[in-house]
Amino acid sequence: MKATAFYENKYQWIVFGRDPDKPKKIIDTNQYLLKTSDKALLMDPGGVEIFSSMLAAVLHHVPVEQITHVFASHQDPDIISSLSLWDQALPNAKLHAPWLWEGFIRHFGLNNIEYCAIPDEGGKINLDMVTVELIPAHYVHSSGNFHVYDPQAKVLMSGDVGAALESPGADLYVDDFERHVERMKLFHQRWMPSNRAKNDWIKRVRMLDIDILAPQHGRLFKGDDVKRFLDWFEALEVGIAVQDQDDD
Amino acid sequence: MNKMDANKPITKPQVAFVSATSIAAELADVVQVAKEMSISVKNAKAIANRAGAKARGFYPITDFIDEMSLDTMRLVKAINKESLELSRTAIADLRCNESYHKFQLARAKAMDAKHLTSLDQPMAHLQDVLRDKRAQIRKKARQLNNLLDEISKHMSVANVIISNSRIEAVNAEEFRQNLETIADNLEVACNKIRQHVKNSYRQLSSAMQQWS
Repeated sequence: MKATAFYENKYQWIVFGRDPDKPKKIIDTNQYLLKTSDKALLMDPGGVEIFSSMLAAVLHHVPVEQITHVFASHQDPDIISSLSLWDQALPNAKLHAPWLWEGFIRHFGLNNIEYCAIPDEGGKINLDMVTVELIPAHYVHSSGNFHVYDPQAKVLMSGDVGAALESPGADLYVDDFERHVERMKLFHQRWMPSNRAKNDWIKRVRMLDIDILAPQHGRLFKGDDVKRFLDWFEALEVGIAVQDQDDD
Repeated sequence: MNKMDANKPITKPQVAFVSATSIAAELADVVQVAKEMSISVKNAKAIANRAGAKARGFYPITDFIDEMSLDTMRLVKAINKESLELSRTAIADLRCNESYHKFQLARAKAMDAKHLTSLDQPMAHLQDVLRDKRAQIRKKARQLNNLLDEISKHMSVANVIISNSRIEAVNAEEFRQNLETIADNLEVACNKIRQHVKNSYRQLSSAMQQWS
């Protein structure tokens, strides 16, 4: 699995993905690690199918006992179905995940890691030299959903928002926004259920200072492409599987 | 169990916990058969009452079979509980074994990783858990086997008692035919239970072969 550090200062942000050993029929995912000198936050660690590759990749960057926090943006299997395995690998970790999904996420298997339920209004995770904010992202797409914002690094880990269905081995960053739209249009139209929730999220995110928007699938957005994405997303009609009554 | 045992992949692990739960399913019919035995025995008691002195020898026989059928129902209940626990432990063992396998894969992929040794402790812990689960499985299987043995013994004794009841029926004159019919019914019930127990032994043996 490929690992790339995309923010390096006193601490690092690393993205893991483009796993060549991944079974073909499962969607490619980006996993994120925020690593300080002696602690680490593992974000959306992925599904059970990619666990071995992911753990192997993580071991190049951090010992397992230093992974003190795990974050699950929501309950989907590609986000956190590997939980029972991480539960046995991480001796000192807490899981931060939406309160709404606790009874569901525990079905993946959780005996050792402590479940820290994130309230609807969000919260924070402190890793000594950096504190990240858990930004509410309900209904984009899951009914209980959060994103991780790092105000120092100006990174927003945006879960399924900004996701694109890519061919294997795609580049790390969006290099041609207009071409990229085609890879993410259907994903957002179908997986995002609510225009109201989408616009509420955009309003909240526009108030953040963001250099890099890092989704869970596909490429990362940086610089002006972040604003381009927000403008594009704002104009997009989502929830297209259900027609408005007026259309009947 | 040594290190190699914990590393040994289970060929068809799903069979193990399915076999364990199959024992409960196999014995579900036994409860019904035991209930029928109990009813037959109550009929026999009523006939023996009407027969009076002619069927005096029948009373201790009916009392014994009645008690035995109730005890069989109790044993089946205990077996259900044990087989469910055995299945649950087998599933936990399977998950543990799969986790260990995935850790091994990760270790193989990360041979040159800086923090590879940090995986040693979680893997050692998993091996301890696996050892513990396998010990639990062996213990639960022994308990299950003992309970099946108890039912088997009951059925052997029941066969002897049913033979005695036929002798007693001969003295019951006009009630003879009724009592012989009841003895026949009891024998059929007894044979059914023996067959279910035999199948359960087979299921248990099949489950245990997975861990041998």
